[in-house]
Amino acid sequence: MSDIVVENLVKQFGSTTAVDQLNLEIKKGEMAALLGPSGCGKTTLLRMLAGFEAPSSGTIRVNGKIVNDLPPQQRKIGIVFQDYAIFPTMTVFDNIAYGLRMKKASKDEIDRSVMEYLGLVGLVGYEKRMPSQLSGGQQQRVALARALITKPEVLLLDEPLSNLDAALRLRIRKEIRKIQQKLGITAVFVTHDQEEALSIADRIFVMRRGKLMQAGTPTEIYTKPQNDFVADFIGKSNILYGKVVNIQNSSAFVQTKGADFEVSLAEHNENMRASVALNKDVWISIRPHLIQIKPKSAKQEGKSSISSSGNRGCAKLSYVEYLGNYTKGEIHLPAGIDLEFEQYHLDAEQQTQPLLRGQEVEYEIKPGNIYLGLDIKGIE
Amino acid sequence: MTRSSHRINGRTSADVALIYGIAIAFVTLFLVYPIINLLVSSAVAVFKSASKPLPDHFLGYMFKVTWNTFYLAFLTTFFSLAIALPLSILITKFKVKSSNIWLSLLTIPLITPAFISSFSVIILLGRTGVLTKALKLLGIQFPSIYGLLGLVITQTLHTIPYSLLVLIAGLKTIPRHIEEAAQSMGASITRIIFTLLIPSLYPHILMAGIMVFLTSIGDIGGPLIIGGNYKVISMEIYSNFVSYLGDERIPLIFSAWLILLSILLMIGVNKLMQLTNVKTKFRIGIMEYDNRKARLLGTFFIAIISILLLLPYVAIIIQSFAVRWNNTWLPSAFTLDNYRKVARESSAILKTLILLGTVTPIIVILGIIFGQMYKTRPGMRWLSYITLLPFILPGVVIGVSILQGYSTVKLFGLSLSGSVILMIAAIAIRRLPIVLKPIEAGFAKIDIGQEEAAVSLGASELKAFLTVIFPQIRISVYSAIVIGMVKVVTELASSLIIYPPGWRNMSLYVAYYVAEGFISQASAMAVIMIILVGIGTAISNNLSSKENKKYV
Repeated sequence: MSDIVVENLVKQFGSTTAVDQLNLEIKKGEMAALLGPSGCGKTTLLRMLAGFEAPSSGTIRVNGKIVNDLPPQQRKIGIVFQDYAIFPTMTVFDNIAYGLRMKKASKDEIDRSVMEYLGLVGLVGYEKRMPSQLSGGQQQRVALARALITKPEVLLLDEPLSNLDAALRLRIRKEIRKIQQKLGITAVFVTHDQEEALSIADRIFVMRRGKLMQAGTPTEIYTKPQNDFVADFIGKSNILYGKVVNIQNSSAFVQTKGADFEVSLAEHNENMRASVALNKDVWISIRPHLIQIKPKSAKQEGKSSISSSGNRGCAKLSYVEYLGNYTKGEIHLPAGIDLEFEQYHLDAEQQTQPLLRGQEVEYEIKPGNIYLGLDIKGIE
Repeated sequence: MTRSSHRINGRTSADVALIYGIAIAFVTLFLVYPIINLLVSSAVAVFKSASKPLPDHFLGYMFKVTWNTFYLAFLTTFFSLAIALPLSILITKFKVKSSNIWLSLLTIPLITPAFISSFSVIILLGRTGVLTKALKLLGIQFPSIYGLLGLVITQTLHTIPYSLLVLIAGLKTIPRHIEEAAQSMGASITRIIFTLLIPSLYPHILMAGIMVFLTSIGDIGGPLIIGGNYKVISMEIYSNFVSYLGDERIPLIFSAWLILLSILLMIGVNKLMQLTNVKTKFRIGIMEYDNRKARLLGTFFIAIISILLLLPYVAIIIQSFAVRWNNTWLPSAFTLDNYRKVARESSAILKTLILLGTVTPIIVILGIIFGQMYKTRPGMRWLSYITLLPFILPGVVIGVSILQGYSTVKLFGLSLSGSVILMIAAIAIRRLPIVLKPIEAGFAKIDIGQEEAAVSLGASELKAFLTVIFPQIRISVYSAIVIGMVKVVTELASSLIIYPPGWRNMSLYVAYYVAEGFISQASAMAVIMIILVGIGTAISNNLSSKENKKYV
């Protein structure tokens, strides 16, 4: 059963449309991520779910009930704000107890509950502290406990990790995920960080300019992007545009500016098979780590073989970053195409003999490793 | 993300709507309506004066008075800035010794009314003044203090602390990186001052300048006490208003004229401010230079200015105990009689306390309501132009507008003009922006997400305000109360126009005594006033510093 159903939702601020005809469903107990670049409408959507913004049109249902006109107080939601919005004049205890006090809970119940939730977020012993005495991560936990203590049906998190440093971000995200799974609460969080979304969400909604670009599990979003925008935004990718010039033996040949690429229609492009036809405009996506690179062998040195196929050949390393467990950089194809690559160091030799800028290399992209799509949204 | 229509689901609950309604009604009744009414009445007076045409020389007279007003304001602004700018740089940049003590001495003029410094200048520099005598000994015949010269001196002395504080605040927003960069490229201190510091200060110079300019235009105590034959607009409004011989149309026309001029001035400055808006956020400190010569010069300079600024207060204290003080170094004899006489007028102190007790709560509560409104409802922020209006309008104009609007209105059979209600309203409207400012500053620091957090946890907007927001602006409210009290006690301009029979408060008494030539009694009353204001300030400062320590 779906816990949150959004239908044809529109939000306009004056002449700008922040959310445009949006439809989405979030199942009970799921952790859903609203993902997109800044200005995509994800925060506005979250604020409409919370009741801080009224939709211009469309409906929001929670548990089957339309909540459009319910004020935030009556929506049974808990919210964790981007900058936590901890009440600075209250102790940790009073911050967490606030929601229960508003419900006029008994003192015993408040004491018991606050201690329980302090335990849940690992802050036992901090109850008498003032927020100014807490670190960012601790404030984040107070915000989480405060949002959860009223036992909301839905937990909303607005970029909950963006104010933390990189190491803490990884830790807190794991904690948030574990608590969410333990409580089985439906949660929606806003993020612009695709890795964050992939790592802890059950379902991701990729948004751009107020529109939903794709909805799906992390695997679906990553491996079967519906359009070039999603392919580019989720994980890194080389996106090329071209025309289908030939179809044979379950392979499509795509002519891009400079080179032709053979794309297998057998593997993960299976679903495209029926719709791919000659002369169709398509986009192809080549993940950097699926480009194989090796230094040019000695006998080939000097022989610059310009192959008509883009899938393999020689290229020049135009940029290199050595990152320990892998090397990333850019190769410049003779056809004039630049492709980003990532080469993971799978043995000690690769790790100790780095690739160098300017070096000639051989590369290969297997037809099965190129993803093809028809829906062109444009990338940013 | 855009938060333009932040309001909780776009709705306002009934209780909040009622509170807003009351606040907006107050401002509409006592500011918007009177001002519009005044503009209309003056237009009627100008264009429909067939029955009684305006005198032929009226335009020339109006031009002359306008010119006088602006000339005085310009000179005051120039001298105030010319003294305050180098002083502010010396103090903040060259480690002037015990600059904090000097600065706290300099705030005394800030909490005392302008007219006190006007008449203390008479004590010092008048025909029989002690400084006049001293100058005579040096062979300098000091010209008459009554007129432009006296006005420029008193207004400049009174406004230096304003300018100084604004400029020092400005200098503290310039991060040391900028100067370090210049130094690393080989720039000298003088070069840094002229090419970096002063240009970075333009917005603050402009801000200080406009404050001084408006203070000068709105000043009534100065022209009343020391103005002599130098006619300025505010004085012409007042004298024609209170005199039976005056033309009753002149206050209307001149007030409307001043309203237009002030608003135009403000719009112009707003445009300029946008052009020069420098916003720098930084955490590192400001640059200070170790330069012995500059430090000594700075110490000397600030000492001189402090003495100059404080001399009038010393003079008032001496004068308040004097039997006679003419052409002598010190009064011929000392007495407590002046205080006894003033004590007999204790009703003035009572009246001041009553006004304090009514006006201060009104403006502080209005300030909180408007502050909260501007913070949480961006759609209502246009109202802030209206609540700021009394800050730029001369007090006499506010007095005239309210009296003009309500003099014939009767409430329960009683004429409003005879009751103290209009006086309370006038002072409240006039001082509202001064109280609103620190409260708005308090609100500015609050993350609006906290209100949303409270609401999402089940609090109503009112409850969220009381439990979460108000505790955070409490300090700002304290300082608003202090500033409000000081400014209510020292209010003169609109009271002068509007006070009903029997409602002479302390500042009116001082003005009355001075006008009647009872300088010693005026001094005694002024000293009591300064002490009252001082005690209030001390108490509130103490409260707010305690509060401050709580969350650190």
